Amino acid sequence: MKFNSTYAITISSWLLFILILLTEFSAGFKTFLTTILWHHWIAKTIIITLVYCIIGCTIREQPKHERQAWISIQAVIILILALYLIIYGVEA
Amino acid sequence: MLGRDTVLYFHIIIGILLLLLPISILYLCKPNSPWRKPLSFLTALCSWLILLPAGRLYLVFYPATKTLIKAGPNPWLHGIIMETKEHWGILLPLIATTAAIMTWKQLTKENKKWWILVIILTILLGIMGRMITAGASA
Repeated sequence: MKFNSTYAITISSWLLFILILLTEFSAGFKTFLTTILWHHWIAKTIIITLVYCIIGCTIREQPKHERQAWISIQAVIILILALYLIIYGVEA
Repeated sequence: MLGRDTVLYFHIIIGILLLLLPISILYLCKPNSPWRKPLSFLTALCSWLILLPAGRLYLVFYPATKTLIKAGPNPWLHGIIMETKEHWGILLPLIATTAAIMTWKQLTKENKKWWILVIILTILLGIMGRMITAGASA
């Protein structure tokens, strides 16, 4: 069985960013994550890990996936920092 | 139960490994070296293991530090640095695992940039951790 790590990281990194947005702007969702898995950080880690494994095992790899993955991971890394700069800037 | 300092030492030691191992893979191993695959596996393993002390530090010991930081002169250390660090930290194992799988598949040209990303992210996470520790002491 071949593991499609590139598509898996594309989907899971964007999902992490969505989860971050949801927890930052929805107290209810943050509480939900805390309720089901003790803490929102633990919940995000477990969800992202599961998604990475499931996607990697189920989607067949294609050459374009590596480039998509590379662009996605860089974008998500920058967006996470940008998001917290903006949130802190607005709150300050 | 392990104390804060012990957990922190584990966290830092694994972090240093996450720097040294990819550097070894990229610059000390020849492209066809038999060491590349086991080193890449070890790096990916370390990237997942580091979540354990990271989680313990963040969930058990950081709340007190957070209170100090938010009450101090640099609350942005929590609002920006720690919030970013906790989420970049979730991405690090995924990036390292992806790089390791590419190494196993012998995608030499592609995996190089992923290992460099592991190195850069590890350095940044280390600097951010140091900033937070220093901020709590201020």
